[in-house]
Amino acid sequence: MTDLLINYRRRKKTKPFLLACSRANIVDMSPTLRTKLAGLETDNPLILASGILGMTPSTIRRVASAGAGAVVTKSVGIKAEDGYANPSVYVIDSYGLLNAMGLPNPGVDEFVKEFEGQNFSFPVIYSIYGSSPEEYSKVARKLLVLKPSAFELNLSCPHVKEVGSLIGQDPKMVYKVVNNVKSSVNIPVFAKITPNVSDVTSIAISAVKAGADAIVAVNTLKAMAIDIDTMTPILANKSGGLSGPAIKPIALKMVFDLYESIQVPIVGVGGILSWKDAVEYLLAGATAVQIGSAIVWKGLGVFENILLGLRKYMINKKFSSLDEIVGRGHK
Amino acid sequence: MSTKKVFDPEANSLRIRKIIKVINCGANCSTLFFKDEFVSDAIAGQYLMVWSVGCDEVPLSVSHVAGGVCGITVKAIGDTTNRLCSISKDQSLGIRGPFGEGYRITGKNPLLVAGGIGVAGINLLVDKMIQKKIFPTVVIGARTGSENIFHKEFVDLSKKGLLTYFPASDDGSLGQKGFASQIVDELVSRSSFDQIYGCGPEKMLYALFNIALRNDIKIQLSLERYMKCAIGICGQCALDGSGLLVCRDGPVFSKDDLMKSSDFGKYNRSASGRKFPI
Repeated sequence: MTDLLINYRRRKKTKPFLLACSRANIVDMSPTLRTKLAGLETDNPLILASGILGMTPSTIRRVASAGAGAVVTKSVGIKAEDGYANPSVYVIDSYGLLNAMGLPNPGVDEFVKEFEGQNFSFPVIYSIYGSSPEEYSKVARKLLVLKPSAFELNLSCPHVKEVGSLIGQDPKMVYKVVNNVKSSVNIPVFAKITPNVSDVTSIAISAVKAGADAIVAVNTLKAMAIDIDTMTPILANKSGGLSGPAIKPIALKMVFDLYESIQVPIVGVGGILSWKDAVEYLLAGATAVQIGSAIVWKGLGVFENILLGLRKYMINKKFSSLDEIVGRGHK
Repeated sequence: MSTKKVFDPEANSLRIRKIIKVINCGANCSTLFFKDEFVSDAIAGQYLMVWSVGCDEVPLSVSHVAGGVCGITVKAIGDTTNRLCSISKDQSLGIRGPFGEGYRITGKNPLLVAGGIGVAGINLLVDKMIQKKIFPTVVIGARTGSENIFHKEFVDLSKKGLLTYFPASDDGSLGQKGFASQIVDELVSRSSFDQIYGCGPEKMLYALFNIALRNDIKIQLSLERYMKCAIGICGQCALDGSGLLVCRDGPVFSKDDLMKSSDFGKYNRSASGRKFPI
């Protein structure tokens, strides 16, 4: 197997698309936002992040009609799960969203019943979680009936054998999970990695070696909030994961580093609220980006706003396609 | 969703508030009073996420706002509501909010209908209407007379000519025997109302919705779903068909919103998202 660490990537940068356009012959110079991502084609590079709204066909359609090019469902497991008690979500001022939902979901069988027969006109990526490699692939096989565009593996799940650690923190476990799912299905498999490790790159490399078609970077950072009046942790689970603007520079650096170490496409996620944030991720090397927590502060209009800004940026910079931006921040 | 309103991180932040007064309303219900500047500005129909410190957090309607003092009325049903009902003066609870879209007060001849603890949500609407010199017709249904917790208050307001009041009870122990919706059916055939406002069990709301459709009356109903985030992101409280979120697009919905929502009046969802019939 190729040692991906030394396979330092330099993507060919295409020249800006130039069109000679006379007054008499007006040519449509509007840039395209079409995105090709590990076998998926989407209208634009914005994807709804997992865990946000994507629990029912109606919410998924609503987000797609708000402008998302693709959506990721909430994570589905083998059994129904109520999740943690409330408070399970807490907004920290205008910079952070803290959550410990506890993976609420109706279980894969019930989920399939609800989604069966739904025809979506946009790619739907189904997020899966499990407590062992076998559980992940079992859920994946059951979901195949829904003709998913891809699977996203939520690797930030408790390790069934090693209490207290997450599957995604162990490169060997990551390899096993991705490998197990990849050998059970014949559709693209994305690995969503946790930032709660000392070396994100080695985790991503394990996933790629096991056959991951794309790396989604990154999941939430471990965090908490304590109420000073009652001196009590606010989340019922005491601690949880942080998303939102607070984590953007951290996740951005991780995407930047991954781009130089792995060959598969990267989906950047973490604190994207504006088109400028999205452009930064593309420049760092993300082929597409996921939007989630932004909906708290910006509402569903965030998708259209980012698309509008992205298109203007491309026109100003004379870019005709996103390929010309992706990874360009690597000087 | 909330393109109408900018998200306010301050109103969303957790505040610990000392309880300054508790009224035992009977029928395992209590009204807890506290001071909070954000809740003082609450629109009728909006709700708070109320934290029984170190336990759970539940959505509760704002039932009272007067002179800077705010109140929530809780019925002891589960662990958290039992804990909230046992709070006494000078103890504290945590609040976030107010959240969601409340009732829009329009028209001159409104009909307000509540069932059971739904009266908590309607109570503030009654106050706000009277402040605007709109004198509503109020129908309150309960299983039994003692569960009509604001009966005395409504009788007093009725005596002052500030509202027209029709109590109903399933067992006939107070007012007309039967459901609130039966009274509403009779009332709409006699008078012309511009708008029906409802809060209570979904079966009652669905009956009101059908009456409003048959009689071509505008309607605003407050729905209840299991909620986690209250800010429109977790999707736990989404209505099928429309994808509308009870926590942020609601809890008060118009006729058009409800027409698009295929689960209204039919099924609800558990914490895991499993459907169960209403």
